[in-house]
Amino acid sequence: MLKVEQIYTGYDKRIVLHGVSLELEPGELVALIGPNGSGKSTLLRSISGLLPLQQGRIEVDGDEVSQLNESQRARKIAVVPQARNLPPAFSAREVVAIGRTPYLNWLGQLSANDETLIDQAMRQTDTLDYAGRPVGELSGGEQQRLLLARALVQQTPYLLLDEPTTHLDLQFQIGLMAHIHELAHPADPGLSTRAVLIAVHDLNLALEYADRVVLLVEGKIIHLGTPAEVLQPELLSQVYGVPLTLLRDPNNGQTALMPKLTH
Amino acid sequence: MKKRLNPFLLCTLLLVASAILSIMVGSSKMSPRTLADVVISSIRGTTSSTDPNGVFSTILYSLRIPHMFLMLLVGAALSGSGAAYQGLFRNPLADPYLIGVASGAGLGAVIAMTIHWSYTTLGLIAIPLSAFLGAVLAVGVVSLIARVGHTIPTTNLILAGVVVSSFCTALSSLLMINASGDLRRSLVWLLGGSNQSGWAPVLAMLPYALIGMGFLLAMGHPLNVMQFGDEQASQLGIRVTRVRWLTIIAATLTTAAAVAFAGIIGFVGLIVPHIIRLVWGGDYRKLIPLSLLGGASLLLLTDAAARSAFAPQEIPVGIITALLGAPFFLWILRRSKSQNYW
Repeated sequence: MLKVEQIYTGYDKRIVLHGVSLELEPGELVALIGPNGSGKSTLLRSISGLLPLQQGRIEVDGDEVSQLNESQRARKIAVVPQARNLPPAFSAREVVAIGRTPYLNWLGQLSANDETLIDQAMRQTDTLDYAGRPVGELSGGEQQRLLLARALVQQTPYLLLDEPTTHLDLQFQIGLMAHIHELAHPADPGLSTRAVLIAVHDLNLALEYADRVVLLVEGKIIHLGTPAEVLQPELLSQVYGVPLTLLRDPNNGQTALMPKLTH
Repeated sequence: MKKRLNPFLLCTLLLVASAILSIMVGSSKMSPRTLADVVISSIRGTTSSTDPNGVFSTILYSLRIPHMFLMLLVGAALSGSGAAYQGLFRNPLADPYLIGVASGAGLGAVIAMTIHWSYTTLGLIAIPLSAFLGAVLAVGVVSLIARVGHTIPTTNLILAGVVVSSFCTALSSLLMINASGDLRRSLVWLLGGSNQSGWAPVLAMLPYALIGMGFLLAMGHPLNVMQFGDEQASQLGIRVTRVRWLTIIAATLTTAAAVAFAGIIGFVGLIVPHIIRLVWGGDYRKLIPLSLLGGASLLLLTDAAARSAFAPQEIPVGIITALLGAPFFLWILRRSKSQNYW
């Protein structure tokens, strides 16, 4: 279990998170939503051990994150950042292979087992087709899937994603979210079940794919529950300062939040 | 090309060929036949018919071969450290010369020389150490000036390098003008030409070069991971601060050793890693060893050119590398802007 207990943290003297608590277990996909600047990225950075805490503690499977070294942490928690400034001369496969780092020695020699895991992760993320191509030639969607594959070969029980869908076209957003959903709820019982915490801008992606939703506002969790509980138009209208309505597709019952546009 | 030829084999063959060429070229020409003759007879312990007085043999073993090894080590050092700086700063234009490290090392070496330790055993230890301190100081100042947040933009890096380099060069010149006796020798040495011959500089450089290069070779994988940025590298299990320091120290030690024994030779660390990256990709586990081999070859070839182009006058090899390197620099600059190559 990943336990965040009453953490306070920030940059220099500016406190960004004010007493955030959260629990996460393999087999669930938790969406982290909130307006810009509410502290979503800061929370993810704290959990991955990049930001020292001023108060509180974060535990992963019984160990305090701040007590683990980089490599121990990287075997527990994998992070999928936004695909930006990837080293363009690396091949797609080389990018994925980097994910094995916490298990490799200083020289970075891959074993046959490492190669198998890389193949498997690339198959799982539909990236095998362009394994040999330089990253600089790939589209944003293709790069983002590679970073997901890179996180998968880290073989961690916990996966953090920081707005991975932001710069993607609609079909890639949905494709990527389907892959991510599959990680928490694998159809194949042979695959390991992961806990996924994903920061998303798009409220409808949270509504559609999340098991639970965390609403973070000004560094505090103001609501935590099922998508239906958290994604209420009245609550979110207040938080985002835009009037929202919940629409239901009469054909399939699917719901979506729709801002009332003003001209 | 990428698949068929083993890059290590190719670069090693190039190095061997360059080394043989380097031995043959010089004020007294040595044909392949003479060379083979002298080598074979010295192995057999007999006197060669083509070299009855042993003149060629002396030239070969006391001048040409040690000079060849010195150039080989220096070229490998500059190119390997160039590749490492590029990985460290995540910038294709980082070169020991352009980022001011070489000038810092030069200043350190000049300071040690003006204390008149130059040609004693002590000098052979003190000069590289002093060069190392100068280089560390230079790289520290450059990265402090150039840093913006977590990154070092190209323009900042090069500008900071120019500033630090100019400052160090000015101080070196000042010291050399005051130290009248060694003035000319130091000046020629700084332009990139060894002012010492024989085995002494080779043996003196060897430990520094081997330690530095050994660490650089071990940095291949960590540098690969660092190409994704410090934060991601840390999240992938790399101890970023430790890798950063080890790389800086190893690359700077290697550069300082080269500068202490061969002066300031620019652009080798820029040209070679760049060509290797274009042909065989950006994996630092390959890039660093191939840069060592390729840098050694390039410096042997340019040095051979420097010694034969205006024969019997020998010109400092740094002039040739700069003539090649400056246009190359402009080409990379255009390329990295237009293609977002990095």
